[in-house]
Amino acid sequence: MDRENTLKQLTMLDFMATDLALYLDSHPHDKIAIEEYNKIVGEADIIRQKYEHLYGPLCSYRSHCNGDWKWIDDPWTWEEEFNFTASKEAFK
Amino acid sequence: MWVYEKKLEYPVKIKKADPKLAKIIITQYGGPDGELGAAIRYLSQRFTMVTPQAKAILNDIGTEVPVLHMETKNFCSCHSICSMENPGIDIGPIVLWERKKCPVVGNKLRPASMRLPYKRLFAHCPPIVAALLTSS
Repeated sequence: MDRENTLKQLTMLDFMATDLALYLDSHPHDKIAIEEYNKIVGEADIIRQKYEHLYGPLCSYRSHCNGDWKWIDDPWTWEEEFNFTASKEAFK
Repeated sequence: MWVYEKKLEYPVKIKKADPKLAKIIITQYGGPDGELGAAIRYLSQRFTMVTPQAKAILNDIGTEVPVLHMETKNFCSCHSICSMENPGIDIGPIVLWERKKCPVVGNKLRPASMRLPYKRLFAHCPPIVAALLTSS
C-alpha cells in the first residue's frame, strides 16, 4: 500500500508538471506558473528519489543501481499489481 | 530523444471488460486520424516552426499526446480483451497474445484474425463510424 501511495503522489505531481510545462510553452513569462512549476518539480524530485530507493528504478539509464539490476523486476506498468491497484485507490 | 519511465502519466482503470469497445479503440492507432499519424505530423511540423513557443509546443505535444495515448490505448484494449473468460468474437488486430497466456489475467485466447470488418464496427458503434465517414 505504501508503494501505491508513493506512486500515486508521484503520478499526480508529474501530471501537474507536464500540464504546466505545456502551458509555459506558450506563456514563457508567466511568473506565477513558473513558481508553481518549480514547486511541483521540487516535490516530485523528492518523492521520485524515495520511490526509487525503496521500490526500484523508474528509468533504465538514469536511476542508480544498488545490488542487482532491478529494472527487469515485476511489476511493469501494464500489469495488474502496478497501476491497477493504485488507480482503484485514486478513484475512490 | 525519449525516456521511458516505469509508470503511467495517468492511472488506467478498467471498470468493465468490453471487447467490442476495445476493438474500436484499437482502430484509433492507425489510419489518417490515428495516434501514429498524429505523432508523426506533430514531430514533422515542428521543423518548419519559426517561433520558440511553436517549436516547443509541437515537440512536447508530439511527445506527450500520441505516445502516451498509444500506451494507454494499448493498455486499455489489451486489458479489455484479456479480461474475457471466453471471447465470443474474434479478437481483431491483436495478434500479440495469440495462443499465449495473457500476462495480465492469464487467460488463453483464441487465434485472432487480422482485420476488423467495417460492418461489425457499424453494428457496434454507429456514432463513431459516422464520425469516421464524415471526416474522411
